[in-house]
Amino acid sequence: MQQVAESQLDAGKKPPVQEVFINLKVIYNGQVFDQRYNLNNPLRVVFNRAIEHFGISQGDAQNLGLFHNNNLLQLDQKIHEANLPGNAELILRPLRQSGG
Amino acid sequence: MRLELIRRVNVPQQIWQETEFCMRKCGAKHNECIVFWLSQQTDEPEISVAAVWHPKHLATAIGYDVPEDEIHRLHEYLYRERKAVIAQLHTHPGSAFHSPTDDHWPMIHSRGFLSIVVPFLCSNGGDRLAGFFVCRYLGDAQWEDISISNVRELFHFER
Repeated sequence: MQQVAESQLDAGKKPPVQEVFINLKVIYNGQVFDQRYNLNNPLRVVFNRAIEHFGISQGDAQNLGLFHNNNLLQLDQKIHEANLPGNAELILRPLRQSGG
Repeated sequence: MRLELIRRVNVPQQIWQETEFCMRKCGAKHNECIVFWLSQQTDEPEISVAAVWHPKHLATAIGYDVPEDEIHRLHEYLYRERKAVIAQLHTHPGSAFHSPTDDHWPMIHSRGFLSIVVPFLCSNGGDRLAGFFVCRYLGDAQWEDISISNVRELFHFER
């Protein structure tokens, strides 16, 4: 009887907003920037925070990419869509290194 | 590590010998060559070059290109070994200067990163800094040239 009463009570409530977080490490020139992110954020949030943390200009950011296992991550996708494990190590590095 | 804080770079004799050896052998008097100088992670104004990284690269007499997998390998190594790239050095067949490609595609995009261009494919002996072109990154593909007198203050070649 009590169980029925509780489930009726639950049914009237809005479900809690699902906020799941993940810890990600961004590595740049051997340094680590370790932060927690909402999985519903796009990867661009991770990229932008790292750019700011490492003091890189927005102009230079265009020459850099965020890589996991040497695969370039698409910054417009949500973090959960990239299927990254917790504490994944992402490398922030230039897309190209050339000279002449 | 804040590269803009670096005021003095100590270059051990062994590091310079390895740098010269790589540039001369790899370039074989015909092609450009690129190496990176690595240091331990520190925010001290005086640092020492701890290692030379001679990457796999494609080169001609007028340019070089480091493949993506090699860029990645270097960055993984830096993280694992707690090191940082403080400077890139590449050779020119003639006099030393910075090209637009050098300006736009350094290995590190942090203020204070150093770029050294070594003339004549590193074939000149004698004065280690003679004819070198040295500049420091300001951000947004802008570099500040360093005068020869300041270069001599910045680099200390240990003998």
